[in-house]
Amino acid sequence: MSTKEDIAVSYDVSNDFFALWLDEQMNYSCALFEDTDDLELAQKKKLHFMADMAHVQPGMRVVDIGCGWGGNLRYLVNERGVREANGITLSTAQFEHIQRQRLPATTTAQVSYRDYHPEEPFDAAISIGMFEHIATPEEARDGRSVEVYRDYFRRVWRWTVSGAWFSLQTVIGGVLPRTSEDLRELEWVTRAIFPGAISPRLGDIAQAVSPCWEIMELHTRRGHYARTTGEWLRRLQAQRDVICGRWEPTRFEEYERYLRACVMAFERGYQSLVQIALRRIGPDAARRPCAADNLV
Amino acid sequence: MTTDSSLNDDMFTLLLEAMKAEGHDTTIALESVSMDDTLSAIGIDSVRAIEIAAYIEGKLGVSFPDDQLARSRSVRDLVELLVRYGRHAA
Repeated sequence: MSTKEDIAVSYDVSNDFFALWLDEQMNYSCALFEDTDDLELAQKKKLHFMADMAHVQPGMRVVDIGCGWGGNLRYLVNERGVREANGITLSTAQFEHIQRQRLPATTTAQVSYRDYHPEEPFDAAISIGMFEHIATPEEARDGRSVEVYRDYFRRVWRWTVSGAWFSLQTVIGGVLPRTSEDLRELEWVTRAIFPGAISPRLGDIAQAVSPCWEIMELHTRRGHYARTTGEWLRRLQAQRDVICGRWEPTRFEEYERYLRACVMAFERGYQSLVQIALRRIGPDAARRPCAADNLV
Repeated sequence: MTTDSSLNDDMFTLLLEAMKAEGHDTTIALESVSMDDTLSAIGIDSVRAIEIAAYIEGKLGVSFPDDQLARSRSVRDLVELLVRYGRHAA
């Protein structure tokens, strides 16, 4: 998975910087533009949709894997009435931001999912835009993605109660570009903005959920991520003078290049986005011989 | 009739032609490239590998599956890809 140093490159740039072009709750993931053109509302619709897919009910204990700056934790407590929202993140900037908010009924841990051992099982799990950090580009090239993803799904299985649902949102790889220019841009984004990360292939996810989870529902949202990144780009460009006044101009140039590449990638189908509702198989799934104590 | 062995040779030759046509300087002379070389060992990164494959796709009029293309690590992997999907075009 991405190291803490990799994560710092992607998310510890500056909370103030991200706040200038993300929505108010700082959701750094694809929004759901259903019956709206407004990013704020579209992000809220996404959180609503993901909570519905995880079958979140008032009074539940929910884990948010890769909780960002806490937008989903806040939503789960304030809008869905959960008893406890538990977030995990590897980012120091995100963790400290959430701590400063002192959100009610919320706990946050700065920890890798590999080292996370909750004391009580959760009623539901949600993960938005973290799955891209699970396998490294090297593991993907070596054909090891499925085993790494399967280990992740097994761990979430262990953290949850019998009958739990898990809603997962992640970028997925689409068609590989064949032009040098597009290839180089995407390679640059991975290297400069998201080192250590790679978009999973949908087929790998479908294989890796076995034997712990069953895919119950799946939606692709490529157009929605093209719109989201397009809106981020518009907002970033509107803040050009502010950004160049507070940080080096290269900060603006790099993020403008990155967001342009994202829009291009989603519009041309090099990347897509998937939202998957998973139902926990159990109670014996993770006790089968291939699972349990054989974690990577 | 084309034998598997001669098809392999044809595809290997086509691969070398693609490397040359795309202007990719390998870290060793093209004449020294062998089936057992890894792409990284001869200076071809994953982006270059796709550029080379795209040249061959255009030449043969075929499209290689992305997942298999992305996982090609060696000259042999690429040649096998060419043989499998370029067989009918060759």
